[in-house]
Amino acid sequence: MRDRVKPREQIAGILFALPFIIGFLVFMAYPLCKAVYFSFTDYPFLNEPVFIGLRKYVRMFGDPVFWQSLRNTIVFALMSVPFSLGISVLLALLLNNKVKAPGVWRTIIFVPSLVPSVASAMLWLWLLNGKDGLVNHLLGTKIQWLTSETLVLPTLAFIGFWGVGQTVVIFLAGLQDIPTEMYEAAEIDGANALQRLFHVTLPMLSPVIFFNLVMGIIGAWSVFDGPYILTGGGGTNRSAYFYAMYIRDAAFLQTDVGYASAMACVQFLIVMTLTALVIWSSKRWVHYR
Amino acid sequence: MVAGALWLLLFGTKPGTYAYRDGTLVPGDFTVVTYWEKWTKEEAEAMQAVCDRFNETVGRDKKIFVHFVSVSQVDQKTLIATAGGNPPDIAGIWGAQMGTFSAYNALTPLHELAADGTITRETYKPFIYELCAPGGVPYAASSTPAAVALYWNKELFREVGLDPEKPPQSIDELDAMADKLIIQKPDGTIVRAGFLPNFPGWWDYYWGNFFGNRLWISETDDYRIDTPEQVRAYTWYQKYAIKYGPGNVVSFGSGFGQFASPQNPFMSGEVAMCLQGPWFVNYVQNYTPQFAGLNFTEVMRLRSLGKISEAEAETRLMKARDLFRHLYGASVPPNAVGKPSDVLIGDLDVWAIPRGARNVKEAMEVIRFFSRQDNMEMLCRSHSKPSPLMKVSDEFIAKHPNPFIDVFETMMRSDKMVAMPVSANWAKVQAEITNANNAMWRTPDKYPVGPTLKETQIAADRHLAEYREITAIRKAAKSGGGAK
Repeated sequence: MRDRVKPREQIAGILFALPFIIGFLVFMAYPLCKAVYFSFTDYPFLNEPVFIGLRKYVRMFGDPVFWQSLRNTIVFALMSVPFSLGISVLLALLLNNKVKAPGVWRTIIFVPSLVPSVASAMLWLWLLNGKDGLVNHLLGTKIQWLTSETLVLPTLAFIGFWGVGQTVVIFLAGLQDIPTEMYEAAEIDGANALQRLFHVTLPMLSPVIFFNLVMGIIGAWSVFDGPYILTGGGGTNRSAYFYAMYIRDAAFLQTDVGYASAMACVQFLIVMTLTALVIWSSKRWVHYR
Repeated sequence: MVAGALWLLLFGTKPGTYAYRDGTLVPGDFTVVTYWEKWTKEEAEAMQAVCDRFNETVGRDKKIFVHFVSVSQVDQKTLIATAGGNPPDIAGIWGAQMGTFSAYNALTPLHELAADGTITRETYKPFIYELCAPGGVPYAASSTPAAVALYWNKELFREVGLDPEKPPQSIDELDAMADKLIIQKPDGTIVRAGFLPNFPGWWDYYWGNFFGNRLWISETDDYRIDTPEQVRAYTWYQKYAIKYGPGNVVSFGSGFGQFASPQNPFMSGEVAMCLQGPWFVNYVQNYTPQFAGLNFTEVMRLRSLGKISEAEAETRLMKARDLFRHLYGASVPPNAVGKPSDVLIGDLDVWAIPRGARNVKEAMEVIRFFSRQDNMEMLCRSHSKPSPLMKVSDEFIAKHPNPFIDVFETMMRSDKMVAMPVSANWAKVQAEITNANNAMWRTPDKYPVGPTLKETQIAADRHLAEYREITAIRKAAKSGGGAK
């Protein structure tokens, strides 16, 4: 028989959850509903919104800048998410080994993720400078990392590893949660290090990989501040003009809140669909104990 | 106490804590006019001085205190604050925003200031009134204006055997001088450039005008982006990237330091000629070591602290003017149409009262004070700019820290002067033009001038068509027809 929750406890529970519920309703649910409404209006910020049906969505599909920002974001996500995940798993595996001074290494890897994104963008701006940058100096080249249309997206994806500290910590926690008996059993069965990695570590780590994959996809779709500074607002011929940048420019520079809201709704649907796909596929590759 | 704490939490300032410079608190029965302005550092200090002057004179009499706040991205923040119903009483925005702000009815019409002669066609120099009063409605008063000049480094001119007192009079002369001044290594690396048409890039959208184009047709609110004159202009623009090597110019440009720093490429001698406004004199003096102890900001600071006499201050300012004249020159930029004075580009800052401001009457009183000839001259002098007013005192010219003030004043008085379009679509069109210019400059092989400008024209026309369609829907909705 189920235990019945006393009314007093129910009230207490609701009261404790109330700050979150209010915050969610005011700062998440209401703006979300408003954005959906605005996406069907013309709303230039300073005038009242006027209902115009699907016009903003129709415009979106004929807008080359929309498609370019969408393409850039997809390419960036395809490059940065696997790259960041791969690097994070690799670093976590290294840190999980018996290295000397593990605390120092963990700090070194984690600290960059604490640097504000604007500050780290300024740092990379000078490291990758086409004229006097340290990277070009070391390589003996004059490569325009951030102004070349072909190089800018891979460069931005590569820079992403700077902020993998938090992901590494989560992976590390996941690795330390794997029971040692499983490794011992695998060893007794004659599994070598590589086999242990692919048949014990990665399957056991798959829930954490799944979580970081979902977070990575969401993060890649809302990438803004770092690339905005590094490319001066979108790069040569909008080669690094991301979806979130276009939403921001549409709302605040072009004062077209209706269009920005329509794009935000499409972005929401895309991220929802991708997340649903990852969740659906997780049945095949995520292993829970 | 609780109420005070709550007020502090919500509004950031306790009532009655606004203070004059001497620390005296503003009495509670005064109206506090909030004034947001884009200027920072020395320029903000200069505006603060005018506000102080108001607070200590007219403000005390009329029980108004103007609270000056230096705000970054003032245009966007004013927009959001206005939309949110809590705007400042006065916003110091850019003239380029007048089209959008007025089209969306975001500003309070200043008929009272037009009636008393503060904002009239006769009060201002030619191009200014059109910007302040789009469609004939006075929406803003002019603060500091500017004309764009060509600055050149006389030392570098001397070094290559050019006459330091003779700036280029035509585009051909400009090109020839630029070629003489450039230093390029055998591998193409640029060590010094004579002139780069994309530096500083602030008025790149107007190069077509220097070749006879009229970018914005005010009568119809149309843009002419792919005309033969535009193609000629941007072919010339792109020619610089091609002849010096696109990779080399991009690499050279990526090493430029911040505008307001000693690493500014003109100040560091990396670029010998560039387009800039009158304010540049102040920046050069503030960021180059030759002017230590002589620049306007420092001299005025020392004077206000009583560390130097009035006579000493004047002597130092004159010294700075002479030194600047020896090191640099500024003149009307050349063009491909005729005499340099045939094509002139202007710029403007304005004071406006956003719709929904709480203290409109008092804000107008403050703007009226700012617009007075003596205060305007005080501000423009500190900013090293010409005055927007037709009437200027002899002292303003004689004691102006900008050694080329006569050049700027003359340009400002010309009816050939054009400023940025006063159009609701300007931000969108400008973004398209800027994007095209960057592409043509950085990758000329991929973005030839003709097709790129044609595409830009199509993009601009698309924005205009959409704006017109939406405007029609809005009109129909307003008249009860509803959205189609």
